[in-house]
Amino acid sequence: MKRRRFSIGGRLLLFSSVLLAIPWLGYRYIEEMKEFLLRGQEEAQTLAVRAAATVLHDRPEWFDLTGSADDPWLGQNALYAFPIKSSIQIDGFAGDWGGVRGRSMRYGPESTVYARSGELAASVAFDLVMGERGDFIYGFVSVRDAQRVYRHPRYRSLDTSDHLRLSFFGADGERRRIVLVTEGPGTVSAYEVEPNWRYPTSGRALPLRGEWHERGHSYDVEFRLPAAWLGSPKRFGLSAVDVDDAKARPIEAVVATVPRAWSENLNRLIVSSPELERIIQGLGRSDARICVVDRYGRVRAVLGGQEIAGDLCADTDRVGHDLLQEALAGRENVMRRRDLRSGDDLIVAAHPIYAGERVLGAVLLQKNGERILDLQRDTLTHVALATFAVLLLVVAGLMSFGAWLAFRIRRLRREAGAAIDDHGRIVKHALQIDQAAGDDLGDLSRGISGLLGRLQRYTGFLETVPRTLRHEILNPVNTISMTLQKLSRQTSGKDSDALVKNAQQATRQLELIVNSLTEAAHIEDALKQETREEFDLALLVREYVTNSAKLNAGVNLVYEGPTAGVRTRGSDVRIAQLMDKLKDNALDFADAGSPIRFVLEQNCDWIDVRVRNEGPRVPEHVLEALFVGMTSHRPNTEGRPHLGIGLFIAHRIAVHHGGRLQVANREDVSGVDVTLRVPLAQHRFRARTPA
Amino acid sequence: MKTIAIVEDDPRQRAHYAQALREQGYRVRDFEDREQALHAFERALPDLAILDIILGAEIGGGFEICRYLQQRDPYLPVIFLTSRGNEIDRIYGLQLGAWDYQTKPITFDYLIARIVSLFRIHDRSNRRPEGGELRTLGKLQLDIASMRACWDGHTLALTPTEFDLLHILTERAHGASYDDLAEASKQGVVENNTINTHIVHLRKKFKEIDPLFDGIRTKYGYGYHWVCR
Repeated sequence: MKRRRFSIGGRLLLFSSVLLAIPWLGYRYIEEMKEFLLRGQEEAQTLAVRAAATVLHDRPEWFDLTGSADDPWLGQNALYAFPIKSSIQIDGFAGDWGGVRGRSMRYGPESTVYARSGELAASVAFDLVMGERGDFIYGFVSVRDAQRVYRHPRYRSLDTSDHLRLSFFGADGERRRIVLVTEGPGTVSAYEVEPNWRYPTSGRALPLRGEWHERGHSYDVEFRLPAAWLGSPKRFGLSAVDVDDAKARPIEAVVATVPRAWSENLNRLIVSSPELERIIQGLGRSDARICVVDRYGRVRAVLGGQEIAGDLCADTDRVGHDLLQEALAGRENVMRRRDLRSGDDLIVAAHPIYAGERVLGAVLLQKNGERILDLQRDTLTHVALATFAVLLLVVAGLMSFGAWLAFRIRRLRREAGAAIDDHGRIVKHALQIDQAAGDDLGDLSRGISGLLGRLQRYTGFLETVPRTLRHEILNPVNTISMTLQKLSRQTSGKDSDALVKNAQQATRQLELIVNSLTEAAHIEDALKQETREEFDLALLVREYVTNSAKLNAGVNLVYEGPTAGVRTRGSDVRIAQLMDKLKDNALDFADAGSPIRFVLEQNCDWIDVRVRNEGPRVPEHVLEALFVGMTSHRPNTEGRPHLGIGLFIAHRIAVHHGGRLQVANREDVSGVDVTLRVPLAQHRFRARTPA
Repeated sequence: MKTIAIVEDDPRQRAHYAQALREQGYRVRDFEDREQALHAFERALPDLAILDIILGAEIGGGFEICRYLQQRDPYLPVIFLTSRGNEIDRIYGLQLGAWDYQTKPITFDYLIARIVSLFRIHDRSNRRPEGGELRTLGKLQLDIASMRACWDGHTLALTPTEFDLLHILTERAHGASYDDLAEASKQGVVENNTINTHIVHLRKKFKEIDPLFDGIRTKYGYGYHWVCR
């Protein structure tokens, strides 16, 4: 089963990616905090608005128009001077009136107080809107009159042309009447007139600015008069007088802001109340606007809120309007909304003002939540930057730590791997890396070192065993051998000579055994010390076969393959030794007189030398064990020890040359193939310089 | 009369050596371990020393004694007794020069032949060589009597074994077989590898003088062949 591989660095990266949740958590935290703060603000605003309302409870005199009993007519028909924010140019154009212009009142036939024809469907009607700004009261009248008649300069009476009549109670309580007339479009003249509205009380025009502007079938008059002219409570009336016949100049119709039945009365003019403003002054702030509104939705006092773009009190403000309706219905309310123009978040609260059970009006409070948002934005930026920086640091730290750990582990693995060579021998008794490190890797390194040390001691013991054994065996053998030598000198006689010879033969055999054991034990060391050079394997094997055939008379050795030019790298005498072993092996198993073939084949990057003999097969289960020392399956032959070491050494030599040895039973005839496979020399294409 | 010192930890072998050498007319002083030997050598040096490499618990005890002797007399002949194998290489590793070694078990005849050769070499090197049997083969000059060899006028520092191998190589026109070489090495049981090792060392010594030396060819499956005529 293949195990999936995860590097430590990868895992660290995976785990550290969890840190990416930190900015999200921070964002959530800020959001929650904002919500919390806004809720707190809402609470605070509700309290503030309730406080303001509580102050104004049971003070109907500030809201009621007559100051006395409930008078529905007066209440409904009061003229209202809207608080105007921007300055107004008296030029006859309504452009600078803003949203207030849309709230003008229409006075038409039902407001006609006089008609010459007796029919109420008179030809004249007007729209009126009034405003208040600073010390002035502004008015804008738009009169629908197709037939305009201007004042004749020679006429003294002022009621012989289209004109406007203003009427109010002065500061002294006296009723005053003012007529606005003009001799053509442009600046109007204002005259104080007698109660019959005909003659001016003096020839001097009043300092009342007004402008007459014509548009098709109507004319507009924009005017302003000082607020100080009006007494308190402010009462004001306006009527438009229509004259159509330029010759006879009779008054055709009079349309007024008060109906005929009340024609001697004046409307109550409602402006914002300084008393109210004074009372709630303490509550106003630059980031909070407080409006006090009467039950008809008319703003009586506005305070603070210079920083707030949207105007809660303007009629165009839908939310404010809904909120107001709720409050006027007796329900306190708070809500949050976004100002579409400025994009600011606003908190709006409203609370009704009571007189007993009756709702007198409402207090509206508008507070800019922008500060909280600013705070939130700043915090978010800071937190984001800080967490990003910290995150970067942490991730970088973790990554470098992971890389460092991974590097150390790899280094340790490399060193630990190199401590034992390909043949399983220990070449280093202790690791150098991380020996002094105080962490787990240091422990690991020290642990491996300890392990290697113990292993080294054990293998050292194993390695000394053959040497000690040889020493211990050869000494007595030496003694025996010397004794025998002496014996052979001292004694003579056919029998004893033969005995001594036998004994000498046996000691030689013992010596051979010990030698081959020793050779096998030290083959690795011996191989390692040998120099490797390139040589011609075909030449070697061919020569080897020829020479061996000469030396071993009666043995049929055959070489098959190229005569020369197949080069490999290694030790030639060791390969010759290997051939010796293979030859001895083949000879031991070969049927008498059968040929032993040395077949050399060159493949793309390796060389096969196959030693083939005819004879008994090797049992299949033995094949693999043949190269392990001490396994011999040779039929017992006289005179020579068989420890199964020959093929073991041959195998070691083959492996040392980067090749291998294989044994297989032949398929054509009964017999065995032993194949040596070694790599071709890498630079076999290099042309040899011609001699 | 020549004095031979034997340092061998096995008492029976020591006794055998001593007896055999005394029979040959040498004065023999035998020691069991390094301490004893060094103690005696402080007072008087022998003419030749036979040292077992492993002395009791001391694996390299023989080498230690050899080092001491070399300091005292660089030309003192030494024969190492080894249990063969990698110890041969260790002897070469020590670069102890032209001293010889014998492998156990030892044939007395060979040992005595070695002792005789060493004394001969020693005596000849002390006196100037005076034209013994000189053989010249191209650049190679062999002084059989004093076992000295020269290549291209430079003396080769050969051990007696190496000299014998070289000698037999030059004598066999068609190459010397492993058996010939083993016989010439005057050692007990000799395997082909031992011969190979000797030849490697022999070639090395030639190459120190002449890096292009290629006079000893391998005859695979047979032995070696001297090709310089």
